[in-house]
This record gives sequence, structure tokens and C-alpha cells, in this order.
Amino acid sequence: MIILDYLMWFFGGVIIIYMLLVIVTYGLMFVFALLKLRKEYRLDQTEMDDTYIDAFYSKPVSVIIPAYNEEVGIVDSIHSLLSLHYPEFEIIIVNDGSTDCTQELVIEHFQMRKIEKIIKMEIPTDPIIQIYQSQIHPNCFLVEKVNGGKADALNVGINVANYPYFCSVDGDSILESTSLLRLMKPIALSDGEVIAAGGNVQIANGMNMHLGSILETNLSKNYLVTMQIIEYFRAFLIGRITLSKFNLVLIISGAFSVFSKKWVVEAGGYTKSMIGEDMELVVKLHRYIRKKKENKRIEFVENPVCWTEAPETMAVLRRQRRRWHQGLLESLWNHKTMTFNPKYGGIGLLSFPYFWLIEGLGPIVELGGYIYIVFAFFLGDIYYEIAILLLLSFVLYGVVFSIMAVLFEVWSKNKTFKVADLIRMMLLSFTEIFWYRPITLIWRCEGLLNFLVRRREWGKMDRKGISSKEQESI
Amino acid sequence: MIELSIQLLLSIIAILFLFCGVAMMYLIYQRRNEERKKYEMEKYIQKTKILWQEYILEDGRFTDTLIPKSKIQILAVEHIFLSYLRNISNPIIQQKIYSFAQMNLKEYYKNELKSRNWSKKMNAMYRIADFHIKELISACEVSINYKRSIELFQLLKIYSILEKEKFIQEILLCNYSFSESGYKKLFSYLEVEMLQRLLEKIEILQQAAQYALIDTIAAKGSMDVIDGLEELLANEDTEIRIRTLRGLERIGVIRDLEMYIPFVDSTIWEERLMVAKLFKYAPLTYTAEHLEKLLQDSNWWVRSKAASTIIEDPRGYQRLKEFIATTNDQYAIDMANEVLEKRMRAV
Amino acid sequence: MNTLSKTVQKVNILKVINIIPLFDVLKANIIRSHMELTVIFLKATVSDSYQNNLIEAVEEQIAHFLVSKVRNTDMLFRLEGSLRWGILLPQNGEEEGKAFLNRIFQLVKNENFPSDSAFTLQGIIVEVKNDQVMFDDLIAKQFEVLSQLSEPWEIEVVTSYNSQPIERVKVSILEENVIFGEVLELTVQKMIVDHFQLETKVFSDGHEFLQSDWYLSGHTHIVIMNDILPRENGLNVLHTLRKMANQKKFIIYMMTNRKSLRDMIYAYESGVDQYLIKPFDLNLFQAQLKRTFARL
Repeated sequence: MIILDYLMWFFGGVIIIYMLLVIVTYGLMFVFALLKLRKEYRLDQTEMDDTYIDAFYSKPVSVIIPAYNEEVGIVDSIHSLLSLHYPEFEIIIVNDGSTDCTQELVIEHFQMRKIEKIIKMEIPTDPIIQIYQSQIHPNCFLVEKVNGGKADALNVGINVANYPYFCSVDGDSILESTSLLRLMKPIALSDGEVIAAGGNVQIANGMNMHLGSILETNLSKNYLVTMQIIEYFRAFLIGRITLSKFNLVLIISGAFSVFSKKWVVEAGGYTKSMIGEDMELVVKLHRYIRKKKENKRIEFVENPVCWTEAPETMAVLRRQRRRWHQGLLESLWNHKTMTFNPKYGGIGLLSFPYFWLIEGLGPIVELGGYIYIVFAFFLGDIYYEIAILLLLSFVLYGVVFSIMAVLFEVWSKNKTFKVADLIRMMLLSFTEIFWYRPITLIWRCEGLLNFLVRRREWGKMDRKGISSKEQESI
Repeated sequence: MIELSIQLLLSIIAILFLFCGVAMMYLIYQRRNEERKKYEMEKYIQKTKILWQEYILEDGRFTDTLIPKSKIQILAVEHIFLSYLRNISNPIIQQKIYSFAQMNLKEYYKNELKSRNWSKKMNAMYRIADFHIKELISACEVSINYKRSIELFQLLKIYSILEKEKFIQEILLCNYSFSESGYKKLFSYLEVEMLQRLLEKIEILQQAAQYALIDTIAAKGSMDVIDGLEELLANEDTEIRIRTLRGLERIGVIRDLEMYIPFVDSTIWEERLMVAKLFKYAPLTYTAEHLEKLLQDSNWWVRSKAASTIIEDPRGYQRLKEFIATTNDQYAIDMANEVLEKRMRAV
Repeated sequence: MNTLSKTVQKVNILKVINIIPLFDVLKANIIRSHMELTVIFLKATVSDSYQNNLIEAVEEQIAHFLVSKVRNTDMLFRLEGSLRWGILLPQNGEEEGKAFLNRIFQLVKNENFPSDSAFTLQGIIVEVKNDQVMFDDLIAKQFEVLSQLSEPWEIEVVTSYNSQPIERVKVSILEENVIFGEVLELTVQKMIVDHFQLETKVFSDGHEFLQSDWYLSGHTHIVIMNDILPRENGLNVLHTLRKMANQKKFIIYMMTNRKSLRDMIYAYESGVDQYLIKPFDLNLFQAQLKRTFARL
């Protein structure tokens, strides 16, 4: 029994220390994000919009949409892009060998016509079959290629792109009219010091949208979706704002991010065989920046929003989370030499450890925590108290932070919300640690296993489509 | 010890919950407040917009009802004024708005400048620039934090709009380091003559300012600025030369072709690219041999541009065909063919 | 070459009955296509010392002369009674009609007439600006006026039929900023344009505009829109309008504050008539609009 004792104390200790670390880290990040947003809370954003809408001051951007079987949402997505308030941009849709009607829909809706264009292969990719150009919107192109994965599709887009900056957008994402303008703001303002920027990705399920304009925001009835919304708030708002300020960002969402074409090409483009190609690119860029000993930054901008579709069923969500975690670990492992390596500055000394410990291996510890609690309850006695301690720390970490994240988000966005929705999210936050959290932890551990076993798949997400389509009854 | 920790955690959680509860109440209350304010603002705008139309567009009489009396009303009036100013350039209309702002909104902005809330201060400065409230310039100078770049920028913007001489003075002192777009914005408010004055002293300026100046002057001026720009073609800084070439291309006039020919052999591809573009403003007979040289350039972009410049000339089609027949450079042939094909399809 | 001294065969000229249906068609087009229409009536007076059989010859000579001088866009016809003709000039207004007639007279005067076929001409010019006029009225008027003319080579301008009916023109303003949209509306409404009645409507997004059937009627329609609009941006609206069968009725002004050269060029190529770069001067805008109306 002494061994059991010893084990229990040991594991208990480890888990508790881990939880403390996590709570303190998150707490600090939260406070920091709060202070930063508070300062700019009432600032008139239209002032900047107004300046940078003039083509003279802004930099042209190529928007690349890698699409694989996106027939449900692609047309709406493109419509929202066409309505972007941005002086000069082009849209490049890369059809990565879709087996559904994605290509036909796009060709028909936007009256695409075949064109000949010699492309400079700045990044080696799979061959392109054909390029099309829209006859009604000449800045809109469609590139047809053989299936090669999202990373390859993006690289093709980069090769085709005409402009010095490119913005990667997912095929089911919808941008607001000022999204691109505001995302480019740090890049435009910094004279090339900022070479990449990621925007805020939020969940659109339940929103009523038409032709790229948001009509109504309704909270989805689906509990799973609501939980994800809360999760996104926590991740984006708290994590990324702080990391961004100190140039420690390792992940900017591929669903909505902007890069300097030159730097990406020099760093080698997206890596074809990786699952988390967006994170991989960011890590590669950081590595390359250090190698060239330049003072460049990669930032997260919380203001511009991209609306994306979240999985509504457990099965799809599971695949997504597994894939994300696997991708995360793959990228971290791929560049493991950067960990604790002072040559890579803050990224090596702070970001990498953070991501390894808290994001990467964290699920094991947390899951361990859950198991421990169950054990400890049964063992009773002093372990009972340890269990309570752990439980409380989970509550702090899970429930409290979630609620704070939701409130924070609602406050900072300054948009109308329904009180009922707010209360619903609050209540749901209470339950997170009892069902959502453990399940997602298990899935992430599955991702970990997969990483160890090296399996891979790209996106087989069911698509439902966010916008109201044929009912033009507004 | 564990007991204590549990107690500690419990109290932390309790405090945070309390905090969240309060925050939630506050948010709900604040939201209601905002809604109400928005509604009131809308109502006020609806009520007064006709009056404003009459006052600003026609020669309506000035009535006291136009003067905003509460914060919400001031915000409403701001919205109305900005809608006018951002879309309309009639000097009389602008003047009316400026006068009104100077007389009736000055006090409000003066107070806002003193506010400790940073956003409010910045917004006030934005409006001072928008509404040309000269008298508050000294108030701005006093209240800004000179270490904050963004506030400094706004002050300089105000100078650039309202006290141009002072602006030129300050810029030449070079204590600033703004971004290039920042400088472009600042310079955009100046007249071409003033920009030319700055151009003469371009060496003193900060690098980003130099580039911004060249871009701005090329955008605003035409024949009158060519002299000044052409002098910069001999500058040591590569980027200055490239920008100058780009600016000259934008103006679209070549007076002395000899000045550009040396760039055909430049080691810097951007310069070769720019002359490939510039040559479209000279007759093909003079530029053809240089363009053909550029068509065989090692850089893809240069070749591409050279080809499209040739094809834009009426004799270009023929010339390209002859070129393809006589050259050995495969890349050049490919490029020429692509351009010819595009032209054939367009016809 | 003296065309008058040739003895020639009878030349074929339209008679009044033939002209009436043509006149009616042209008359209808005055309103629909903003076409102008002027009718010229000519009377030749021969010196009295002539016998009747010579009159016929002279008539033929004049007829030949006129046929050769009339442009192929005009229609020459013979009136009841001898030595009277009419010419329909579509797409010409009063001033052009006068210039034409003066030129004819000058040509006749410069030709060297053989003394036995000297004659003088007199003419009246009637511009028709509405579709209520019947051709018979014109004939009657012609009789009345020509008989009153006393001087040789006299030209009289008849203005009895140039009352223009008021045309209803629609003006749509598509602008997201409500206040500015209404300012534009006011600016347009304040304009005084003769013969036009303006009906304005403001929309704040492109979709709303296209969903309404306001733009479907046949009226001349001036659209003033911003290039960026919520829900259906300016370019989409432009394409939709220009694809319509009766797209000629649209005159499109596009406003922008993006100043992207490429977009502007493309928009012109796609059918924009005029660009307005924000901020723009309202007086200038009014002047441009007025000019547009003048060209209608």
C-alpha cells in the first residue's frame, strides 16, 4: 500500500503543480488582454478604416481559398469576399480535386472562363490542370488541380498570386466587410516589420446571414456548438492577444490569416505532408526570421472577424480535435530543436515550452487528473481532500475562466446580445468540466496516439452551410 | 496544508464568481444603456437631419435647435458632420461645418482632451483634425504624451492640415519615426509646392519619409515635379531610385530617354522592371532593342513586363514575332508567345 | 455641272400618303428614344412670265436637284399642288434644319441658272417635339404659313409644335450612409430641368434595390451608386442592370472612395457612364447631371 500511497502523492503533486501553472499562466494572460483591450475600447475604428480604404495607402492582397468539397458554402463565402471593403485585392479559389460540385458551382455562379497564364513556380507543387477567370469579376480566379492536400492547394494559390501579400481563408468562412482591412492594419502600419497576422475566428452556426451581410446573431440551439463558442472565446481572446504582443504566437488560424508572400516563399511555403499546415508555417517563419536575424513580427488582431462553421455532431468534432492535436504535436516535434533553445529567443524559451507542456502534453495530465479524482474519492481519507483540491482547480480553470472569457468577449465586441443567450452560456459553462472537457481531452489524447502512430487525414467534415440560401425572404 | 489550499482555492473561486456576477450585471446594464443611447441618437438624427440639410446645403438660418445639448446629441451631430465631410468636397459646405464646430463643439473637445481615458482623447483629436478646429491645437500639444507614437502622429496630422508651415518645420527636424503609410497620409494634405520644398531637402528626412514623399509627390503632381524627381535617379539609395522610377512611371511622361537607358543594365531587378514599364511612354522604335534585351532578362518579372510593354505598341505584335524568329533564348520565346496568345484571344 | 439644264426623266419622289406612316413612326420615337424630328416645307416661285408647260420642267429639275442634295437620312416628298415639297429630317433639330435649308438655298443661288428657268425658294422649318401632332395639321400649317411669305428666299421657323411633354425620369441613389444618401436625393430634387420630372428613391443596399421592381420599368433611369454596398455590391448591380434587355435606359454614375485605378477602368468597360471620386463637389455633380439631361 505504501507504493500506492507514494504513487498517489506523486501523481497528485504533479497534477496539482501543473494545474497551478496553467491557472497562473492563463490568469496573467487574461489580465494582460483585459488591460490592452480596455485602452482601445472606445476608440473610433472608422478613422483608420477611412484612411486605409484608399488604395494609395494600403497594400494589395491575394485572397486564397483552398477548397475541397465545399459545394455547400463556397458561393456564399466568395460573395462575402467580393463585398470586402478593400482597395485592391484578388480572389483565388483553389479547387483541390473536389469530388462534388464545388467547381461547377463556382464556374456557373461567377461565369468563369478558361484562361492561359504562365505561373512562376516559386514553391514546388503538384501540377495545375487549368486556371479560370470570372467574366463578371475579373479579380476572381479559379485554379483546378489534382488533389494534393490543403497545404499544396495553398502553395498553388501562392504561386498564382499576383500581389505581395496573401490571405488564406477557408472555403466555408465568411468575412465581414471590414475584416481584411482591419487585418492588414498592423502590416500596413509597420512598414514590413509585421510579416503575418491572424484574425479572430468565431463560430457562425445559428447566425442569419445573407450574401455576406450579417442579419441576426442567434445563439445556436446545439449545446455542442455553444460549448465550442465558449471555447473559442477563451482560446482567441486570452491566449492569442498576450502571445501576439510579445511576438510569441505559434498558431494563427488558417481560416483567416495574412502573410507576406516573399517571406513565406523564402521559408519554403506550406509543408505538404503536415496536418497542421497553418501552425507549421508560422513556426517555420519564426525559425526563418531568427535565421536571418531580422526583427520581424507575427501578430494576432482581435478586431477583424471571420465567421466559420463549427462541427455540430460529436463524430465530426472528434475528428477535428484529433486532427488538431495531432497537427500540433507534429509541428512541435518537427522543430523540437527549438525548444528551450535561446537561439530562437522568446519562441524557443517561452512559446515552445508553453505549447509542449500546456497544449501538447497537457491533455494527458488533465485526463490523469480526472482519473485521479475518481480514484481518490474511492480511496477516501486524505486523498479525498486532494480530490477536492483538484476538483476546485478544475472548476477554477474550466468554469471560471470560461465565464470570464464569455463576459470579456461580450464586453469587448460591443455588439448587441440577448440576455437570454448570455445566461445560457453562463449556465453551460458550469457544466463544461463534467462532460465537454473530459470528452475533448480524450479526443486530444487520441490525437496524441495518432501522432505516435502517424496517421493522417485531411478534412472530411460534414458541411451544413451557414447562410440562408434560397429563401430570399428577408 | 491541503486544508489551507482548499480554503484558499474556495475563496478565490468565490471571489471570482462574485466578480463575474457583478460583471454580468454590469454588462447587461451597460448594454441596455448603449441601446437606449443608440436609440436616442437615432431619434435625434431623424429629428434634426432636415434642419441640417437646410442649414448646410441651402442657406437655412441658424437656429438654436441645431446646437447639441447633450453628449448623445453631440455624437449625433458628429455622425452627421462626418457623413457630409467624408463624401462632399464643396468648400462652402465644409466651411459651414467647420465654423459650427469651432463655435459650438470646441468646449466639448477641450474637455475630452483632458480626459484620462485614452480612447476619448484620441477620438477628440481625430475630430479636431476632421473639423479643422484650429484653436484647440495648443490644447492638443499640451495634452498628448509625446512618447506615444500614435498620439504624436495625430498631432502632426493636425499640423499638416491646419498649420502647414509648422508641419514642414517639424518634419525637417526628424524626431519622428512613423511608418511609410503614416508619412504618406501626412504628406497627402500638402500642396505640390510644399512637397517640392520638402523634396529639395529629402536627404535630411527619415528613410520611410523619403519613400513616402516620392510616392506622394508622384501621385499629386504631374509635369511640374518631373525635374525634382529626375534628380533623384542618381541617388545612392537603391530604394529611392526604385521609387522614383515608379513615380515617374505613374506620371507617364518621358522627356529624355537617355536618362533611363542606363537602368536597363542595372544589377537591381526592380530597376530593370521599372524601366521596362516606363518604356511604354516612348515610341517602340527607340526602345525596342532595350526591351528585347529585357525580354531575355534573368528575372521572370522583368521578362513579363518587357513583353507586355512591347505588345502594347501597335508595332509590337510584329516586332515580337520577328524577335521569336531570331532569338535562342527559350524563356524569352515562351514569354513572348504567351503575350502574343493573350493578345490574339483578346482581339 | 449644271444639273438644272439637263432634261431628265421623271424622278420618283414619295407622296404625302407614303410619308404619313413614316412620320408616325418617327413621331413615336421622339418620346421613346429621345430622337429629334424636323420637317421642312419648300415652295418654289417661278417668275410669272412662264407658261404652264415649262413649270413642269422646272418642277422636275428642282426635284432632281433636291434628290441629289438631300442626305440619305432624310426623306423628300412631294406635296399637293405644284412646286411644293417637304423634307423629313429625323435626328435633327431646328438649328440643323435651318442650316440645311440655308445651305440648299445657297447652292441654288450659286448655280448658274439659265434665264428661262430661274426661280426662288421659300421655306418653313417645323421642329416636332411631341407625339400629339398629326401630319395633316402640319400640312395645313404649311399652307397657311407659306402663303403668307412674301420675300424670296425667306425662311420662317414655326414653333407651334415644339412643346415637349414632360418625361418622367427615375433617379435611384444607392448609398450605405443614410445621411449622405438623403443629401444626394435633395441635391437631385433641387435641380430644375426642363421637360423632366424626376422621381427619386434612396436605397441603402444593393440587394434591396434589385429586389424591388422599381428599376424594371421602361423609364429612363439614372442610377447613382457607391461601388461598395452591403449585400450586393456596386459591381454586381452594374452587371445586373447592363444585362437587361432594355439596359440602354440606364445611365450609371458610380461613386468610390477606394480610387483603385484597375477597378475604375474595369467599371467603365462594364458600362459605368461616369465616376465620382469621394469626396466630390455637389455643384460639379449637379452640373454633370444636368449635362446628362441635356443630352437626353
